[in-house]
Amino acid sequence: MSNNTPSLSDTTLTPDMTPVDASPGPIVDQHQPRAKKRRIKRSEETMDIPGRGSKIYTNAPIEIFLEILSYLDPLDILKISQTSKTLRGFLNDKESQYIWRQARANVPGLPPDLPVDFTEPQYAAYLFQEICQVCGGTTKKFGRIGLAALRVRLCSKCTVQHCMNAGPAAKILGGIQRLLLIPGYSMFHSVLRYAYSD
Amino acid sequence: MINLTTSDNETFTVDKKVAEKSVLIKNMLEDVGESDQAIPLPNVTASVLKKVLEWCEHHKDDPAPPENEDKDDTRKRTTDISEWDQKFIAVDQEMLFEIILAANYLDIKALLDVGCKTVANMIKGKTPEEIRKLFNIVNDFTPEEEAQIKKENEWAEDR
Repeated sequence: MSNNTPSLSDTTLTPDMTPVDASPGPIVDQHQPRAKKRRIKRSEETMDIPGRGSKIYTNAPIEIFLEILSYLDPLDILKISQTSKTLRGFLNDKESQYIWRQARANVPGLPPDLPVDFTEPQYAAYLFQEICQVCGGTTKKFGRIGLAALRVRLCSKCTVQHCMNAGPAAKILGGIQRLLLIPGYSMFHSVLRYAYSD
Repeated sequence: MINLTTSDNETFTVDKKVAEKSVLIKNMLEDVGESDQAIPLPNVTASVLKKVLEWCEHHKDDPAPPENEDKDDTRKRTTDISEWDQKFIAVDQEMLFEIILAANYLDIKALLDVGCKTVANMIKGKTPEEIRKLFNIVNDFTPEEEAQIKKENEWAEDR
């Protein structure tokens, strides 16, 4: 009688739920011997300190944590993945892709699929995080459509510094057809204006 | 009427209709039949059960949620909460957490949803640092790692 919902209460979101390189999936048997290899020791020791709100993360069944995540959008998931190595390892795991998929579904008008040449956090950062992916500075503006082909969000300074028009680029590369070698080029006509200058 | 006994040995007497908002209790009543004996709820304290029953009482006439909802269905999920529920759930974080756990244990899906939506709303729009504070997550990244992570510009092959 003490446990009428075994499937829910057996799995607890303990801090050791996802050692980055351990078995797939977030669910770890509480009764496992503690001797298992640890990479994130410091956080595990301190994560148990009781404090405001701490229990939802450390003591709630994993199902509840996942249920909470299912209401968030990709930027929120991204921010959670940036809080600790454990959460980053868990959310960036291939097994966790459904979490990002649901997060995208929560954004009206966003296609459900991840473009093939993005990782989940990259895509979320590219679309929603107002941070330049080269210098780390703030970049509120999004929409220089040419950069979509480069799969990167840049501030205007880095755009000037790292990008060039396709015309000069073609000259440097030795022919306009070589622009096709640039990743993503053939997918976007708008890329005609940009190419790497590295 | 149904008697419910909490982990701290308090007994609550409630309408069957109210108690049956809990699928756990509903199933138990179906299995053992009605009796004068109190149903023990060893995972719930009196202060939490009081709150949960307040919710059940208010929602006792709600239509039952549709069963066999397709769980794999990925569609937009809103965090809209009714006005009454918003007032109900405006409690401290400790109580919010206890209500969520109790709703999970007692299998009251609609109440669990209210709790999870409330936590989701607390997370929305927060920075990683604010989320850490919210849940007492320890930042185990070095400042250099953190600066790098913020950019999220590793290539897929690096993973």
